[in-house]
Amino acid sequence: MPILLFRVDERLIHGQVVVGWGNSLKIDQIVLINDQVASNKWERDLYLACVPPEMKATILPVDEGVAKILQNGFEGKRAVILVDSPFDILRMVEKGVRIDSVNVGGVHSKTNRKKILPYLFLSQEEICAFKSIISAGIKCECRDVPLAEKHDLSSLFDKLRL
Amino acid sequence: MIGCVILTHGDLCFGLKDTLEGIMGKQEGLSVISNAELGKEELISALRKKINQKILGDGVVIFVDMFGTSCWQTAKKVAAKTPGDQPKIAVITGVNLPMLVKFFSLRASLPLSQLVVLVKQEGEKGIRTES
Repeated sequence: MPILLFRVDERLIHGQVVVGWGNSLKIDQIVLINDQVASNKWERDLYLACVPPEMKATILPVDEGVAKILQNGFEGKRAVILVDSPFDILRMVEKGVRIDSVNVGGVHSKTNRKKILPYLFLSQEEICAFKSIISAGIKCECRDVPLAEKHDLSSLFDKLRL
Repeated sequence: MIGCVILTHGDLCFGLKDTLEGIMGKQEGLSVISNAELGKEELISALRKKINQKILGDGVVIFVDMFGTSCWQTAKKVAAKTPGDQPKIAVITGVNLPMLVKFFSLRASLPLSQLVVLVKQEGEKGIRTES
């Protein structure tokens, strides 16, 4: 399978992704999909500097990322798709990308966000977006690094009565 | 004098500060900050706040544990977006104890640009293999 992981992680390309998931899944292609980062050269260069030499990385706006995924553009690779919010996962799904499960990594504290896990804080809008993803039949599994315990987001929502 | 912020993953920054001050005594203008639990924008504003509190007039060095991580990205963003009329900010990655000892030994006597070079050299010199 060319795309090994769809991950929601506000920090995008950083240590947990490069070292943690990179080593464990033997990732050779990072695909950062984000409109704002893709449109800003300074930010693109900042994230590209974080990619170790054994990996390739590409930074695309959502529409181009979706097009590339739909054209099987990552065939023959071991790719991770990184987005920084559940909203971009929903946009990708609405545009026809088939996703079986989403890895929920770090979304950290901010005003109006509620703590779900030490690395997961969500606003009401973000909770709604994750619920729409779950209703679309996509499994949302929280795990910041590969050796950490997995938590099913839907069960967490039930447990916390969210 | 030049200020210092140590920005790391987990509890490393607290341990570095305690250990350094165990060796050199309490240091003026030294802050620490961990990226644990903080969102991107929150981390940036927390770092700005620490810098503004600890500014000593002649610049600030942000020590980061690892290049290419969220801590490094945060430091780069804050350093790049600081207006030219503010004291200068330098970022040094791979923080270790020899670097910090050198920094606090020399910071009163050297300008930021020279200090950064010597501190980096000291950090590298501290890494050796013995066989």
